[in-house]
Amino acid sequence: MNDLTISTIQTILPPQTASAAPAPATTPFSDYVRRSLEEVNRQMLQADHAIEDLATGKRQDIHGTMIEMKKAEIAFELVLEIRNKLMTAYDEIRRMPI
Amino acid sequence: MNFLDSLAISSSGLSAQRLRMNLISSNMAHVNTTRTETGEPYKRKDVIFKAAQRDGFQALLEQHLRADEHGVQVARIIEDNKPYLEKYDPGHPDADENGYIRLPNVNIVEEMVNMISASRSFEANATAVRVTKEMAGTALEIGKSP
Amino acid sequence: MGNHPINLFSQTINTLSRSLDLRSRQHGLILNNVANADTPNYKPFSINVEEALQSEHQADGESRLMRTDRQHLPGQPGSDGPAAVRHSNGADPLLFRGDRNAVDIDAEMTALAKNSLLYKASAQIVAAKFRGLKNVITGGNK
Repeated sequence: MNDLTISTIQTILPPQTASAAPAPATTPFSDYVRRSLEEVNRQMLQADHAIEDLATGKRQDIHGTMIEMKKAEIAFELVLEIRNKLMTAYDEIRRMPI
Repeated sequence: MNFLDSLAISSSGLSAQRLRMNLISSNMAHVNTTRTETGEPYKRKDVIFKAAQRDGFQALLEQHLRADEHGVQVARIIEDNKPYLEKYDPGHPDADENGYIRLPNVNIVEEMVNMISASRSFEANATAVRVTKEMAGTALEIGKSP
Repeated sequence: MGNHPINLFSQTINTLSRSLDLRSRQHGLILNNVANADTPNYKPFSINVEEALQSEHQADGESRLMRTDRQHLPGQPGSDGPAAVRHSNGADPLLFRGDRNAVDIDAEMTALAKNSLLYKASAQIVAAKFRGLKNVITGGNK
């Protein structure tokens, strides 16, 4: 009786694939975070470039430079806050009594 | 915004109008000058402006692609060749054998009108400088953190 | 922000940024007209900023010949469409000035006042929007 129950349970379980991948939902998310960091980095480099051009007089675009600066600042703040929230969430999960 | 270029454009306007005002002042001061170093009566002076351009290839390129935005410059300063005024004044040291003197071809009323025009143009360029500074100031505030 | 999944900066900020660019150019043109108010044969230039912004707003900008960098040359004279620099409309200059100068100084000063006001408004609105975004993100903590 016990053997039959166990074998029945075995067949209704989803088949294990050879490559047991970790929870697939986390991979796209880490991609997302990486892409965001790259984007923020790109934005900050662009802002630095604009500031340099303004300082050396190569371009005189005040409002354009200011807007680039603000965009970089805000993109950075966003990623920073996301990171903070992730850390907080991780801490909460860690402290959960199992 | 291209605030340095903008200031340069208005600055060229200020210089041009100031030169024009100086010439008008000279005309008015010399309205009765019957004899200059050349021996001739004073000749009215005027200035011809032209739109300023960058030199060389840049100028050729810009002429065809977009409006020149480099302000104004002096093309040349000219002497007015309108005939002198003649006045009968036999007692005057510069009178000729018929008792006529030649007075400069300067019309005071005309010079006054020109002076007002030059002064108004000067003020307009000065206002433009102030506006440029205000705009640059507001643009800088975009980057300001509270 | 290119392939970024979240469009952090709304279309409004892009439109305002474009408005600032166009009004900067218009400012330069007006200053040049004012400086050349007494130049023989000079015809004033201007940009119709409202028209340019509206048409860009509708067209999404994909069908236009895009200049990816401001330093690049435009495709052809006037190919910027409504943002092209044009001679200001005005009465026949021969009727007004013997030297064929067509600058109406009062019209130019009015245009200067209007354009600078709208520039300053755009700049202040952009600044406010960025402040707002920052507050939303940091939750008002910083």
